[in-house]
Parts: sequence; structure tokens; C-alpha cells
Amino acid sequence: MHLDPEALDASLRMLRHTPREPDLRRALAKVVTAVNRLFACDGAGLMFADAGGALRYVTATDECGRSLELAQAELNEGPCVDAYVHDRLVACGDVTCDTRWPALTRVVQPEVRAVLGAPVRLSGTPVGCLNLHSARPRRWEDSDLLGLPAYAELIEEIISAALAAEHTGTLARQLERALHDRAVIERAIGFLMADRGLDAKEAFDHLRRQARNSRRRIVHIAAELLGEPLPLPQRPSAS
Amino acid sequence: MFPPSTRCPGAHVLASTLATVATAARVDGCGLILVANGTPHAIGGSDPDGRLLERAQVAIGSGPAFRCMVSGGAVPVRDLPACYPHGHPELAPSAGRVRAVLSVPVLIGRVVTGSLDLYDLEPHDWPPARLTAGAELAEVIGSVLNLLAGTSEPVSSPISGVPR
Repeated sequence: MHLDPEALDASLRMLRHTPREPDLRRALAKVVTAVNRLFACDGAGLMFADAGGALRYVTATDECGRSLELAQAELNEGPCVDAYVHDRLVACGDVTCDTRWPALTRVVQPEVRAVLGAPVRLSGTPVGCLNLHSARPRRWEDSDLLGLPAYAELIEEIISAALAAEHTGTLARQLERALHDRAVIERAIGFLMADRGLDAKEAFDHLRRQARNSRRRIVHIAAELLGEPLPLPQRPSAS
Repeated sequence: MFPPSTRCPGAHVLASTLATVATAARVDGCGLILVANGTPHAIGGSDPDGRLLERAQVAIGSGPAFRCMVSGGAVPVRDLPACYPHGHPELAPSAGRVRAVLSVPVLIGRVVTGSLDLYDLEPHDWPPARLTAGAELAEVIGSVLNLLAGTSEPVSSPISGVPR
């Protein structure tokens, strides 16, 4: 670490007297806005896993991006879902004719064509997806493929800062919970892949289907499959 | 929050953020100077070069970071050993291997709180797109500082957080 903690302390003590309230959601939106401005794209957005392990809309720079995220959350398929489930960068040149996501191609708005999704991780575990979209079909360039993951890491730094400072907002608690739950779900996915020969997406879909059919959370299904104690109920939200 | 076994200093979060900012900005490294009680503090950098650059600027009281904090605008420097305003020859002998520097103001609210200094080890101009990227990344640094300032504990002591 090439930092002087005492000098940082002195500066942060001064910042504590500024009237500006720390706000995790606003800080995250700032990164998404920066991504939209810095990359050659028509919009950017951010999704995080909810308590059930499914991706949910958090923020987007435009209505098309919002509809893209909501559609993926509803259908549980798309480039952002794959980036999150497979924990890797997913590039799509034209989502309207991509056979990987047949249901999404039928509902996506015509203004959304190319999509690029990078997993957002906490402690190495995927908890969400940062994404770009373009109104025209395109081949994503190396600068996009290398650059977006760096901004996904900045999202992680901001969440880490919020958790390090023990911010207790709803979103921080949700992410903390998602991180814990995802670890259990990952183990269950690994078990299903080894035991039943499924790939990661099939295993995740199996858990999700079981959860829907029994009206329980995915993490409960995963824990039961692994023979582990069920996670405690989530604390009631204060905000 | 996280159990005691996963405690980490908040300063590590900022150190990691600076390294990530350097990657996002596609530069060799970056450093940070913050002002407290009217006094500039060399907080550090993404690597030893960054730390040296910030310490040198604070020690001699000059450099692109100071021009940036006074003007409230970005200060691009093509090559430190070159003559002013393309360089800072008084700083170059103390700044190690650093050549091209882009200093951008870090604001909390509307107040200039410090300077984020992006740098490369080769001299070059800073095109407008890179100035824009620098300004956006300085905003991200401001957000991280704002969040870290919310803690009641000094960042130099262990506090709970995400294990790195």
C-alpha cells in the first residue's frame, strides 16, 4: 500500500464537517454516468442481485437501458444475466438477432442493439452487472472490452468504501446479503454441475425454478441441496 | 456487518481505488493530494512513483496539483522537465520517473478538496477525451472519500469491511 493513513485521516476528519451526506446510490449512479460519457455508447446501466439471487434493475442513464434491464430481470436471460451467472464479460453485437436469448429478442426495444456486460464483484464473488448499450449493431472494440471491467471494479471500490465505513443504507445491506447468499448459491451450482452434468446457467435456472415452484428463496433451495443450515431471515429495512 | 475475521483498514479501500483508477484511465499510475485545515497532504499513490510525485509536490509547494487546486480546473503537463507551462522543471528532479501529468480537481460538493494526479512515464500531450476521463474519475474519487469520511473510526485503524 503506497498510502499515508495518518494524512488520509486528517483529510477525512475535515470532510466529516462538510454538509454533503454520503450516499451510496448516488455514488454508484456517478460511475454509471461516467461510463456513459466515456465510452462510445448510447447508454449505461447497473444491475444487482436481490435477496433471491436474481438480477434486478438499479440504475440506468436512459429509458432504453432501463427497459433492457427490466426485461432481463423479468425473463432471467440476456447478456447481463449471463455476465453475472458466468462471472465473465459478455459482448453482443446485435441483441435483436442473438440466438442465445430468444425471449429477450422478442421484447427488447428497437433502440437497443449492441450490449456489453461486465460482472461486478465483491471479494471475487459476482453480485451484479455493469452494462453499455448502443442503438446500432456494432462490434465492440478492444478499448471497450478492456475498459468496462475497470469501471466495474470502480463500482466494487465504491461498495467497499460504503461497507468499510459501515453505511447501513438499504442498498448496502442488500449487497452484503447478496454477497453472502451468492457464495451458497455458487456452491450449489458447482454441486449440480458435478452431480447432474449441467452447465452453470442450467444449474442456476434449476435452482431458480425450484425456488419459484416452492415460493422460497434460491439461497434456501441451495442450502437445502448442500445440507447446510438455512440462512437467517433478512433484517427489517430501516430506510 | 462482516465478522471480525474479515476486518480491513479503510485506507486499503482507497489504495485499491487509486490502482483501479489508473487502470480505468489507462495511465501508468496516479496519486492523490488532499487539503486539510488549509494544508496540503500527500496521501499517496497507486505505486511508489505516484507516492514520490505527491510527496515532492507537497515538499516544494509547487507542481500541477497546486495549479489545479488553485484554479479549480484540470492542468495537463506534457513533460515535467520541460519549461513552464508545458512542464515543471523545478519539480522534475524530485519526481522520479514521472514525465506526463494530468492534475484534476477533487471536489466534495462544490469545494475543491484536493487533486487527483494521473501520470505516465513517457512524455505526451493530453487530448480532450483524456481530460474528460480524468474529471469523471476525480468525481469517483470524491465519492469514495465522501463515503469513507462517513465512518466514525480513523481509516488508519482496522474497521470492518469487505475482505480484499
